[in-house]
Amino acid sequence: MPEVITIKTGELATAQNHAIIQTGSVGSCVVIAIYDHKAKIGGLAHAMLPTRSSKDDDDSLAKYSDEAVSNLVLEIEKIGGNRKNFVAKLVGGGAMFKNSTYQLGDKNVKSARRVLTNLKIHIENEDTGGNMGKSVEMNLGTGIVKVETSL
Amino acid sequence: MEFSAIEIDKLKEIVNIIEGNSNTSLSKMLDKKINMIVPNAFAGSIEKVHQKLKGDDEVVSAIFLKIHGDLNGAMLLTFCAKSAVNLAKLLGKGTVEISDLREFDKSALVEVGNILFGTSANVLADYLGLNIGYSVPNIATDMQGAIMDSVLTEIEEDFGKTLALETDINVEGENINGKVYYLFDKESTRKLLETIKSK
Repeated sequence: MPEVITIKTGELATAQNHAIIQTGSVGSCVVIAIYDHKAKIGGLAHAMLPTRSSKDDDDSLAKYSDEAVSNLVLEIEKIGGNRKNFVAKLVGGGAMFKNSTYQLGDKNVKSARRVLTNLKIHIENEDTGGNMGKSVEMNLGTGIVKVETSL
Repeated sequence: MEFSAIEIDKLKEIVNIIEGNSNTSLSKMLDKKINMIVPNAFAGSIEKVHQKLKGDDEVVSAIFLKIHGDLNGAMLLTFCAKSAVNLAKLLGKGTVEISDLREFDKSALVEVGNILFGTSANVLADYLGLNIGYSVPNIATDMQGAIMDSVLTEIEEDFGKTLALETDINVEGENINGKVYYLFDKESTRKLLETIKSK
């Protein structure tokens, strides 16, 4: 049986050796999966807000989409990943309520995309937007990211 | 954002007063006895509150509206799928299947939510002498956690600190169990505590 790691909102995890990293209940949050195809290692982050406000002195690694991307990259490098081989996938950023005015999900996705582009990490695939909650499972042996909806 | 036990009790007391009134309205609408118990108050950073409230990937039907004016926050009412189906039956909406909930949530839940939250907002305003407005209700049926993250981030993008007061609600004699949440941002929580000091 592969090792299964579950992350909560605002958390990130890295793994290798065919482990599974999973996270549930993704609404307006964005989940960032980064994978190194050559080394077969990677990680998943579940971020909640687009960017840090000056008032927040919180030290969580993956609360904000932009910081979640850069921290996830650093963490994967720590276990032997090479940034040149990284590819990314994004899931989430939905609007659960139809007449929401905030577009927070969209902002979360844009914030993650911006940092990935700056770091020259290719976004291989996206399942973003819409109004469905999702759960996400990343297989570190293959880099495959499985997305499920509730209904 | 930390509160003393006394402050938490005070906050729960406000919710009790609000719910005493909204309970009566809802009870009249459904012609059933309604029980509401305030079991929990959570305060802290938004992701910590989220982790406490999000539950599993259980599917719930939720109605939510934002409060603005002197207080900023939100009110949220959720029913698990089974309870939502039973509620629809009670309201004479015929036989509803869980798979129909996305349609159902537009009708029955809105009625219940409007009664509950309309009364709540008015009581909150009258009792505290504050000016409180509220938005058009939003409805969704989906994973509890996914709904919760949308609601929390709608009220708390700036500070990332929030207060959540959680209430269990059930319709006596029916298998209908839900939860009501009153959520306030940091500034509003302070204002709430100041206002109740004089009460």
